[in-house]
Amino acid sequence: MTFKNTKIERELPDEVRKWLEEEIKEQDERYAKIVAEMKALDTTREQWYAEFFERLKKYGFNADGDQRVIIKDEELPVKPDGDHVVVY
Amino acid sequence: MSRPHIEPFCDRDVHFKNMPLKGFGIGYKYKMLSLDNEIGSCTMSVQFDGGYKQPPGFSYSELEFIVVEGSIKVGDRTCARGHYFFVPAGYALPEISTEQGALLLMMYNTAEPSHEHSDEHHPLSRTELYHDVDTYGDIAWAPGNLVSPSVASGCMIKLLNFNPDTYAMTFLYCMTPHFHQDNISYHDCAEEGYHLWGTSWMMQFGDLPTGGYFWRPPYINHGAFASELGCIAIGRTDSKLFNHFHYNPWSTVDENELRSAARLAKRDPVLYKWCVNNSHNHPHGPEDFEDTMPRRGGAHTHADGTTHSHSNDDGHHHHD
Repeated sequence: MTFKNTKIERELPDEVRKWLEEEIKEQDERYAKIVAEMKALDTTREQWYAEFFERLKKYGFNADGDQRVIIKDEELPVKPDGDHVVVY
Repeated sequence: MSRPHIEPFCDRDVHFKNMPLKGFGIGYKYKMLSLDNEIGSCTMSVQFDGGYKQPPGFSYSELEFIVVEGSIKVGDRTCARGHYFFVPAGYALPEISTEQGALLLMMYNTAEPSHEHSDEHHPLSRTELYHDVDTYGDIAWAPGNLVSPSVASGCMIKLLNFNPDTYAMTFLYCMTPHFHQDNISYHDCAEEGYHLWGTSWMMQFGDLPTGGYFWRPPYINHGAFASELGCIAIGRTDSKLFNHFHYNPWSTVDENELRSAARLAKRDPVLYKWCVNNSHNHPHGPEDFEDTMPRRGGAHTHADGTTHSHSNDDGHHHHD
């Protein structure tokens, strides 16, 4: 995040480089754990998607704010072949 | 910017670690939430132990932080939970201390965490950008329909920081009990969120409880949304937030990005055609004459406070 883009350059001390390497390694492990946890949620998520489609047909899709548009069954997307991922 | 997609993550699931970097002292503990592996910018949950004191000093990185629990003293001011700070790089804060301890969310925007002991600001610091506010007491909730298309009613925001050039922003957001919004969203910007209190649900990721966190790169589907009991959170984007709503849960990041470009082509066809036809590949983007035109006073000041002069004779080219 660079909200105002302020930064003051400095020579990075060795201890900081080492700390960053360790943190990046731990982040890689956290990321792998999240990917596995989200993969394990696949079946539940498919059910959530099915319930979502039912609500779209019955109550509508939030197109803008509280404005809802009913989606007909034939307008709903078809699930593509292949793996579905939610974490990139 | 290269932080990976961290979503969902809950800081309550991991332990605090002692901060080993020089300058922070004893009693500063942290949990890393996300980290840019190129420049070291990061977001951390931080615990100040009871009795912790941080000497006056500055960071080489721009820093934002908010008090999540407890209270801290900044100089002689007591700042309780909900107090937010925007601290430009090189801005020397007075001593920070806490008697009973405190939890904070620390966001180092432009480099790795650092604390250089000093009573004075760094000479290069843009000190005029500093601001802080009691977000709970001094700002009213506003409807979430600042942008269009907008979120459903029941999701409200408090704007804390805004970059007029990039439209990047930091904000509190809340969902009222029984909030729900039946669409899938993605944005052209990265988005970050941390739950200060309460639980929300997203159709891809499930529940995000108190202490829940996400760093979401652009074009990633999220939603539908719901919150049974309500929640309050801090959010950030790194550029303009536009809600691309749809209802295809299987669309990919690449497809979403293409759809954004397609929508730009429909909405701003002349601009889109210019961008495509000119293959403008300058790394800093096309030239804005307001940034480069000669001015009577010489060097000029941007809306965000940066001051410098331009010349076009430095040898770089815009087109291959």
